[in-house]
Amino acid sequence: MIKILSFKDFFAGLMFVAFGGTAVWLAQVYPFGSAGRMGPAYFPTLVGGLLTILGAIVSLRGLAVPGQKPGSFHCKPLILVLAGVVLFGFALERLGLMIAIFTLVVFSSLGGTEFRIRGVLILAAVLALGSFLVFIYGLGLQIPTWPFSF
Amino acid sequence: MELLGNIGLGLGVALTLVNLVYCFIGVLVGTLVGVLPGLGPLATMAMLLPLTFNLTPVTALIMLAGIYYGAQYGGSTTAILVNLPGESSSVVTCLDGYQMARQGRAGPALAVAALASFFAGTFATLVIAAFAPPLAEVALNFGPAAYFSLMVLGLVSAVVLAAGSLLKAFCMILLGILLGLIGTDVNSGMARFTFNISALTDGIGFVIVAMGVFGFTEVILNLEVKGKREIFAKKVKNLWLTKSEFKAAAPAVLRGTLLGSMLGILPGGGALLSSFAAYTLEKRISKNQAQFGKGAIEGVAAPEAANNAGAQTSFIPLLTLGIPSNPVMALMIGAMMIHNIQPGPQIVINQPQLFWGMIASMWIGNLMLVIFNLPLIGMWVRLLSVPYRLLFPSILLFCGIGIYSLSYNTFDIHIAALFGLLGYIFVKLECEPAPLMLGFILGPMLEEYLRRALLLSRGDPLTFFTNPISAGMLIASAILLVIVILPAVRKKREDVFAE
Amino acid sequence: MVKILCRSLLLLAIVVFTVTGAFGQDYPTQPIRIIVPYTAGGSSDYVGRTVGAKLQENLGRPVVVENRPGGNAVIGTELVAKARPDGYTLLVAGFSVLAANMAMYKNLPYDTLRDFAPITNVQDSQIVVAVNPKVPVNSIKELIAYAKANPGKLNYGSAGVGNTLHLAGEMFCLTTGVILTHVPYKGASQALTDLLGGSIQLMFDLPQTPLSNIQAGRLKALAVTGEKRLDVLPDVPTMAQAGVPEYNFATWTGLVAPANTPPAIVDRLFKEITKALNQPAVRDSFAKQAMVVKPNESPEAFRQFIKNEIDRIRKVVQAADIKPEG
Repeated sequence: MIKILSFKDFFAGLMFVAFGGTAVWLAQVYPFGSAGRMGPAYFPTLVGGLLTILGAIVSLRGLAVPGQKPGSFHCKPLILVLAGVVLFGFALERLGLMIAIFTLVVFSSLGGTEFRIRGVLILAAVLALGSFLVFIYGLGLQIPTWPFSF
Repeated sequence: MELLGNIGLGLGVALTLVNLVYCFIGVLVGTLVGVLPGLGPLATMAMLLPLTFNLTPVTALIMLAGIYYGAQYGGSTTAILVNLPGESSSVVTCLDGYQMARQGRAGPALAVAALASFFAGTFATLVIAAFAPPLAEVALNFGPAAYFSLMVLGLVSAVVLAAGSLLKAFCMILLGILLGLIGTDVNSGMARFTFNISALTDGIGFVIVAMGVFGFTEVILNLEVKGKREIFAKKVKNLWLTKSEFKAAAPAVLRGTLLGSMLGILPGGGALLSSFAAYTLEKRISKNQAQFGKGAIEGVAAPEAANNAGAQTSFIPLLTLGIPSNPVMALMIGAMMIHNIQPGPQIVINQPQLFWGMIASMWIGNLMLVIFNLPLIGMWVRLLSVPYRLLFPSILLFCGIGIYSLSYNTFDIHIAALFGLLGYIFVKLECEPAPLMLGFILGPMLEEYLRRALLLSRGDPLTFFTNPISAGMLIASAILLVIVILPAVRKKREDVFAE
Repeated sequence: MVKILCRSLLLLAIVVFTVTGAFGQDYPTQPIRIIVPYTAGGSSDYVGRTVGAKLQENLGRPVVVENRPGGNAVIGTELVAKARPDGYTLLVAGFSVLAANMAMYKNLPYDTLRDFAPITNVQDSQIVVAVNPKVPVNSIKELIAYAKANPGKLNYGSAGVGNTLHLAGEMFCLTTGVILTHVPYKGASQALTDLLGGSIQLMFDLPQTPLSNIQAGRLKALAVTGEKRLDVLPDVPTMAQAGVPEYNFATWTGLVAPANTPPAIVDRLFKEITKALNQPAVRDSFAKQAMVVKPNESPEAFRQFIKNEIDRIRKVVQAADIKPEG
């Protein structure tokens, strides 16, 4: 059984191999050219290839050289904060800024350490009003405010 | 002396009430815009352009210029306070500035940023006044081969940015390059890695990646900490610099200013490099390298000086040759066109009051900014004591709006969220984001100049060595690479021997 | 029965025409957006802002210019193609967006003739042939001779593959039979920098960009396309005067609205814009930027013109084998 001595290095290396390999694979559709007259695929293939090789070395080092214990992954803040941002993006043009702000604040606050529904709603309301005044009224940015205004 | 006479002419123009007022409006708006993540000076200047129709050309340009370098000041503020780089040049300030803020030293960080920027602005203004035309000539001597070598030097120095494993840092640089290659390839016109998504044809915006990897990731990481541990140290030490901090920062400011002034002249992306290069230089020659990345004041002072100096000297190609160094300068050209002025070699001769008035007003603008920003430090620091559960949704919101305002495309927000996820993974796997950012910026430029130089030399690789500037920089890169790798290798061998 | 049907149809037609005519009278009741699919500061931006300012004066409603750059101007153009055809969203678009893109790209998200209602052309720009002073030629004829003696040696810069400047250069090669090496850049000003520095030897450029450097003597202008010499470059001969009348590349910029915009609104905009363009002050300010104001006689004339341009460029693209998509 192979023992992974450095969790971080091993998986970091795998990540690099994945990125590098994908780049090389995706670049195949473009013309390659030659060293003197490089095509669009030349440089990405070079860089991707190098990344793959070095990533493999990093992974191998993760098997041989001991490293720190890995930090813990906390799914809750990660998922909720990012979900809040993504939903903000979806809501912005369809439902307008006001609703999008509420969505963002509620979801991301759920990912926080303490969640008091009243405080969260007040915060969202304050931010919504403030954003309206500063960005839409003050700066004149073309952001849809309410649903179906575009 | 002719120079004094010109400066006098310039001050006479810049110190009129109208120009002072509009200068102040410009720097005020610029600072506010710089503080808001995402929304940049370019969009703001474009929005305010109609307002300038009824102004005289000098006044219009003074205001627009004020917005531009005001935004540099503002961008540093968010970088230090919440790890959000408002401008690409503020990324490096995040590294040590934010750490200083977390240690309760936000006051000194903001103070040194403002003072460094003012010093650099003053120096750069003098440089422009005295040396603009000959410096422009120097810029012209940089052909594609020289730019390529400059990028190589920049990338090698990116390895120095790393605090940890050099190998992983190098891999992050390569990954950054790959991400930067997404978009249209200049030399062939083909769109690479875009999966037919039209929003990707111009690549992913730097600000979007930075907000994801620096801003969102930081918020998520902070929320992981259970219990009552404060994100920002409650015990704010002081709002100003201690004597030792001042002594440490002063030479860094000087070096950063010189570096930034030189790099800002190059139209092909010099100003972006200036803050990175200044940070690298400071870290390399510092006696306590380990402090960098943990709150070394030189790590804030040097890049801040460099990026402000670079921002000012990037006006030189515009004012002397009529060539814009970046999209903001291109907008200035547009503003000049609307006022029926031809930017170019003739401006110094045909419109001396415009040229010198602008230069004098740049210095006045810098003065206004430092006077305006220093008292605000207390306010900013107090902002950090707001409970984090109120602060972080606000940060996320301003990022979201800021990103949207770039291209009015919600796709960008989703990309930023994706980079937030990637940033989180990077941190957990101990891969540093700063080298990635530098690779992201420099990689595509490296490829562009490489292929162009080879095209012009019809495939002859010796072109990189026949050009003296290019050869010099490649040799410097090689030396720097050796200097960087040698200690690491030596350390490994010591470890082996110790066993 | 038929009679009643006809009468009610006639009544309906009268009502519809009155109402749409009435819309034409009431327009505009809201702010108008002019989309410029480039970053602020270019010539299209100048057109948008100048015309926009005049429309604001004459129509009494705010006219806002919005820069929506990206994707080779495709992003802003697509936005207007899909916008509501109510006359409140207009596009500044010209040769490269409406004609060249159609000829070069297979997967455009818009079709010029199908998705847009042309209003009028605003300005025409010629091409100036600018060379670095170190190149040993002083006229177009000498340039052609030098190029023929050294095929492929001269490098010319453009703002990108498929860009107007690239097409101008390829047309020159096709018309005169020389071989030049094309070097694409990320923008005209970057190409200009290398031209001043000497890395490339010539550019087929719009006059605004190299203008000040030509006037300062840092660049040599060999000729301009077009029928008359430019006011700002009185010493530079036209192609005809320089002996190469076959090369007459010109680029143009105008305003269009989304297809199906009510004709009454299109006509109203046409009248207002052409009225503004014919003012001497406006003509002069354009001339200072080396742009020639050239409105059409009617929106239909503009549409026909665009159609001709698309066909013309298709021929050039095919002959020069320009394939940005690979």
